[in-house]
Amino acid sequence: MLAGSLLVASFVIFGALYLAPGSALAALSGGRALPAASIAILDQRYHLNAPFLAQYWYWLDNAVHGNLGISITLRENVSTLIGNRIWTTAGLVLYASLIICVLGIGLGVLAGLRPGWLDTSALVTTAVTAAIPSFVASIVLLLVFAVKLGWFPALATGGGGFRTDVKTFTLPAVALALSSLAIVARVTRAAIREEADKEHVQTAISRGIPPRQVISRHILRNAAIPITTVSAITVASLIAVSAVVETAFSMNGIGAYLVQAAQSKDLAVVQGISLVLVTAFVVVNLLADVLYAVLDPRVKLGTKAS
Amino acid sequence: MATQHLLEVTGLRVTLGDGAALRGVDLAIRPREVLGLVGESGSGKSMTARAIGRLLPRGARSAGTIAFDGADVGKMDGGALRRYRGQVAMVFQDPRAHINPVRRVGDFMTEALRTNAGVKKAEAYDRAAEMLGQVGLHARNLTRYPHELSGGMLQRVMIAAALLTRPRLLLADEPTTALDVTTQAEVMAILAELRRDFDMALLFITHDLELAAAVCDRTAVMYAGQVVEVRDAELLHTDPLHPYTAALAAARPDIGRSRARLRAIPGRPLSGFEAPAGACAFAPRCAHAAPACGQAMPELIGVDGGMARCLRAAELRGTLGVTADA
Amino acid sequence: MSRGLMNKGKLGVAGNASAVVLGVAVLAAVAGPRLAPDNPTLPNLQIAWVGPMAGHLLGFDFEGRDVLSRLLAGAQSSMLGPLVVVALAMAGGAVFALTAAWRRGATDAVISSGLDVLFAFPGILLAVLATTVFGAGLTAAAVALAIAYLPYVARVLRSGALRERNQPYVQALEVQGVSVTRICLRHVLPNMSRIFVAQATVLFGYAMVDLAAISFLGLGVQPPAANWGVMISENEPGILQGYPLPALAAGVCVVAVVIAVNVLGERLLDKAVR
Repeated sequence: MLAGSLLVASFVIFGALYLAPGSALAALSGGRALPAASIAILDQRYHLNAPFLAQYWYWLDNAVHGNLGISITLRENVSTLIGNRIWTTAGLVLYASLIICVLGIGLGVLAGLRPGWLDTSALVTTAVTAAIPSFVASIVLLLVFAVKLGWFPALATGGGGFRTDVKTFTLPAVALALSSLAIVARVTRAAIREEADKEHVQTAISRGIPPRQVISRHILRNAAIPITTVSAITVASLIAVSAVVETAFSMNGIGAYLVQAAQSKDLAVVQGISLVLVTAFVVVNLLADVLYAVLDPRVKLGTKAS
Repeated sequence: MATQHLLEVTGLRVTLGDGAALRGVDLAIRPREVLGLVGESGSGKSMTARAIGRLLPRGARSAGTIAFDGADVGKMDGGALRRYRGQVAMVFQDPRAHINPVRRVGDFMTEALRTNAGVKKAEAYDRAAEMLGQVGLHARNLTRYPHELSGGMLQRVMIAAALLTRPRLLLADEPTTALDVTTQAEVMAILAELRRDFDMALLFITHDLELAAAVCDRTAVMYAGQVVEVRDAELLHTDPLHPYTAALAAARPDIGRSRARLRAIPGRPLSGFEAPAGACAFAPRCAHAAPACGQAMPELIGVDGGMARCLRAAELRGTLGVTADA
Repeated sequence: MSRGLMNKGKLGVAGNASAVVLGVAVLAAVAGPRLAPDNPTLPNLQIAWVGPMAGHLLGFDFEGRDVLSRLLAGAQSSMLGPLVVVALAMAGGAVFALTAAWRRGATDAVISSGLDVLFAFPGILLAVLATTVFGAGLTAAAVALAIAYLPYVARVLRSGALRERNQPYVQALEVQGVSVTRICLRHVLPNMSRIFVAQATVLFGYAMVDLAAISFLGLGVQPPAANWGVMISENEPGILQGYPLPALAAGVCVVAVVIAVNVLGERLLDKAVR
């Protein structure tokens, strides 16, 4: 099913070439005038004279082997261009995922297990942060922590060694994580509450199992199923939104590069990065399904995590 | 009787939120005795079991005493409570909901042994395998997941698990209601046999008066959160002390009799929350009600070897039996 | 859109406050350019970044334009864009959902798995792709987002549609020979109106965030046109240089409307489910 998604997505990405007004050549060149030699190269590389499906096949085949074409603006291999920047994005997404998982799940577990002031304050905080889009969060964080307090640098370029990277990536990671934190915390809290009320927990208590074990072996263990699913889906959603945060913080990741390429109508780059992003998205969703099947023995692999 | 009661419940009241779930429960179980607890839904029988098992929901307040072997259960904590839970085991109505679906059967069965009694894993699994044999299941079920077993098998697993700690009292809350008739009979047979083998007392909760009569030594009847009658099981049928019990017995469809319509009790069963404070809760539906019944709450008094909560119990002696159709 | 429902039933304090905020935003969207005291697009670099003063409550932006006027003018595209996205997505989703629910069997399976497959496309990505090919602008972005939301909407509406489909009144109408389209339009959809509107409201929030993000990236509404997302992006340098107000003001507008829409949507969903 997910492989099907990927295939269809790649088809759409490729098909964009023909959806554009004008000829495929015009789309590839971004409306620029090209010397005859370049046109010949494009013709050959994209097999522009072959039937549509054949072209799709060539493009896909190339992509799978790592050849994503050439950037019309920078005259370099798209793959190389992506490769230079992908670690920035990967680092950002990973950092943000870490924040979401640790803070979001942690907050949710605490709020779920202990009703009281912690619970209500968590609900209120998450309700507010959920509504703040990442680009707004970015500028607010920049203002407060970079400009006013000076704790973090305002510009975040990667490659400065691990320690510096962690520091420079903190603000963008938080901006990226903020709105997703809310939903992870809420789902975690709801899952914990629901599980704690279940009958099998009563059975465990009735047999004198100590509270700590009841929580870890029954409540947390069972709630882990919906919690993992929502966390994985949330992380997957980060992949697309990272472009916004990268732009706001002037980071040189593939998200920001995607936007620049879109603005300069460099279709090959856009297609290449889109393909990478969609693949990552699908892979993470696949991981979510696998984790779900591992955690819940009632489910057979192949059924979708709802 | 001079023998010390194993479990003694006196004046148990439980309030949940604004309403009273239990308004006066008194019962006593002797060692190795089978006491039935019968009532319609809302009568409070499950709540009684939960109270005895210290499983009351959050926010429930209780009054009265529950004494196990003379010790006050309500005051137990920590180690004493854990030991108590080892001695009093519960079997629940819907086994599928009461067993953790993501852990294997063996894990479920041995969990209490391994965490509480500190039994080594291998030995715990041996004991579990042996107990499974006693309930008629193969040891290979230990590695299965609950969703791979049928309802009847799961209930037997639950019973086996409950018995692993060698409890002296088993609280069975409608253990066969969720099962089909054939499986019911099997599980009942296993329960009866194991009770004898393990020398346990049994509190058997059901809504089925007949079933209670077949299995129990004595039966207690509950209505609107109170115990309204306690009687030897057989006598409950032929010679009940309380009008409600008589009505219950009469309302049962009986192949032997032929009647045009089922005799139903007029009105609907009251739960503890709806019952009035200063009157007999059953009076509005009672065929033998007198004006005094609406003015004072009857106490549970001894009548002829049993107990009844009825102002007119002595008067009605001998007239409430299941006799000819009126 | 949600104006008619503001009168029905209690919405609670938060719900009412949200309705007010939303009302103001809608008013701005409709009459914004006329309400603006100053020209929102004409630059005047001499007064760039000047702070709040009499008659100019929010100061001036990076090109010397009155921020308040630009916010009011920007309300139009900032609110209309998501509206279009929601309209398209709900309409398209309804068509797919009803078709799948009606025909059931193979058609349902095909539509459902077809839509499931589309789930792989995050909205922003599709919008970026669309704007590359069709040129930057609100139209391409809005249509792309609508398509990206379709599977989600269709899935939600499908379960509601299936429920309605199985109701006896539908069978009664079918027996009478009423056409399927008529049944759907005049009976089924109106009965689903509660969940339809609740879902549309929630979707509006998502669309607003995504569309503002796209404009922020420079791929949606193009400057010098006024738009809250554009304003945040073009005034971002101000944050670093000590003039945070223009960007923040636009940010607050977006957040306020999104919160209002979320709260309202949640209230409506609660009542729809009950």
